[in-house]
Amino acid sequence: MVMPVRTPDPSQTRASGVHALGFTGDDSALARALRRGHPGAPAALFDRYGRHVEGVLINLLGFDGEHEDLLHEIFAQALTCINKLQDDERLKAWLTSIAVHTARSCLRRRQRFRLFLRRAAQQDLPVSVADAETRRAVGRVYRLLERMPTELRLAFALRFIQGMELTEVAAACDVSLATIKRRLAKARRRFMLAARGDSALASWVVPDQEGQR
Amino acid sequence: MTRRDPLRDLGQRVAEANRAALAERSVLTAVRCRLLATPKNVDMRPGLELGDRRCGVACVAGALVGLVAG
Repeated sequence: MVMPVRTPDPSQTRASGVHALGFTGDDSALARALRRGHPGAPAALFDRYGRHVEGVLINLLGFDGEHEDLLHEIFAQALTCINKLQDDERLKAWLTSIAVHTARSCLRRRQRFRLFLRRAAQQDLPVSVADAETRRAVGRVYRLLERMPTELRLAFALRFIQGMELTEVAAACDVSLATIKRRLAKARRRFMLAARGDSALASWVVPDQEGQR
Repeated sequence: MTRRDPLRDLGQRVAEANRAALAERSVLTAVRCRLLATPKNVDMRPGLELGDRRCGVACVAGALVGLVAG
């Protein structure tokens, strides 16, 4: 039995066949393509690392009304400053450090103008993604982090929430390993002290296990 | 017996909740459109807000104009 073969409609083929050339290649090739102005490179950069950077941003700041603007700002800056990237293979780490820098600027701006601005629009997690206890606890975590100095807060969030290695945290914050260890020790002490007295976080932090790295 | 770090556990739970929330409230599509549709990928914030650097510049410029005009 001969199966009928559908011949494609030439007009449809023509219309659907016109696409901008995408970019394929590793990070080094992508960085070079960005410098050369390859038309598909900005989209490739965003598609490759957009989700990662958005995750870093949310882990650093929590959900708030600014996260769309900040994500845009990070990639706009990366595309503008691609010539400053020294090691092409560290593209992801470089983007992470831009995200940290952008979050730092945002937190400092909020602190500077906290008397004049309405409270930063911290949004609760959607009801569908977590139970009430988790949503309350996550909200409290970010409230406690708001009371910390910016550098301690960033180090804490990168290490404990984002789950980065110490060397990666140090690189993202552009400080030495010794400095980041000092900051983390301070942040840990402050956070544990505050969390122990917080009813929403009491079950999340076990006092007798404190003091570990 | 390995003792667990409560802060790492806490961090993991926060990260997990954030990930789940991002699956619903991700702004990737909106930012991608905005970024790639903008000529030269410049920052296109919608408006001027108190606390924005541009607001400070506008205040200083306004004060100078006021002084000169006065």
